[in-house]
Amino acid sequence: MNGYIVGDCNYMESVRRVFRREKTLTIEALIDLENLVIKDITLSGDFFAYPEELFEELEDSLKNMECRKAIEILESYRDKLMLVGASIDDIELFIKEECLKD
Amino acid sequence: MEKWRLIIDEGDVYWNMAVDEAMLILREKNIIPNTLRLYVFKPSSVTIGRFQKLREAVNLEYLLENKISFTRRITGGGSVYHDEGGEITYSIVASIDSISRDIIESYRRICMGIIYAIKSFGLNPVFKPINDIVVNNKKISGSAQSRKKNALLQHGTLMYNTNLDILEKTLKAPKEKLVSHGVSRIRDRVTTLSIELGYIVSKREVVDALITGFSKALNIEFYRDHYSEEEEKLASKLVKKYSSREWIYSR
Repeated sequence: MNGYIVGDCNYMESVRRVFRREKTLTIEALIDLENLVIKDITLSGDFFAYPEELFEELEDSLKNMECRKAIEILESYRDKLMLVGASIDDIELFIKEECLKD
Repeated sequence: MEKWRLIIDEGDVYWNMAVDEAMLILREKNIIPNTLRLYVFKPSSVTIGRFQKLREAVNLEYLLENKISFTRRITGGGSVYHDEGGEITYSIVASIDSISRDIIESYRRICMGIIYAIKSFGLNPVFKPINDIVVNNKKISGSAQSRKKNALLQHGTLMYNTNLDILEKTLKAPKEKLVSHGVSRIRDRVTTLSIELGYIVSKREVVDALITGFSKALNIEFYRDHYSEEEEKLASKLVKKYSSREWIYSR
């Protein structure tokens, strides 16, 4: 696992982390956090998601969510979304770590 | 033996991606039969994976300066340079039950068609799950799949004489990905049939090898056919999506 913070300020913090599940596939999570609320999130990379539309729906639904609620949303997608080269666990852990670190 | 439709085609990047999606939609509705489509991108173009960030997947300045067209696929995976004179793309649109419900297994089953095609040239290809085929440890083919409830689309490449200098200029690979392959440049991890064989392989030979390879892998026979009126109509409509900034620059 390879993670690092690319920038922060007093109230808003942008954090980025790259995960590699398969040898050749990656997912990158870029999150803007403000007072434990995910103001913006982008999950990008050369991974596969089935069905694709559901992944985009998940990504959208995490925006403007408080961290605890975001984890609940991620959990609700666990059984209906299949990821290859990425994992809901990774995204969930990333959000947990970033929200709990203060 | 089961019979599948075979369509051989060529077109620009927007048309090619539009046809693939149109076929998936119409196969899901059971309007068209299982199909193998073999095609060329004319002119040479670039496609990127559905979830990739455009600027991180391609050298955008080079593409714009050199008027190389590009679009985003409906499938995941990475960026691809489609060389008009050196790469054949295949797409298989079929009912999921005719391939496999298991996603990883379905990739493997379809990729066996390419494995057989490459083997027919006397080479020793290896399938690297989930979606790559390598020869002498270098990538020669990559595939990506999209699924609906009952139908799947899998499309992918076979490089037979791709210009690797241009490929390297058009695509960007994350540094960590190259490091994981133990190389520093994209072109050090890819190869073509012509490079491996030491002579120039023709498009005709590759097309014939792919038809025979897929026939063997899927235990099917092919009959040559054309698009239906409905497919052409839907594809023409989808061309607008694939050529729109909204779709291409969405990430």
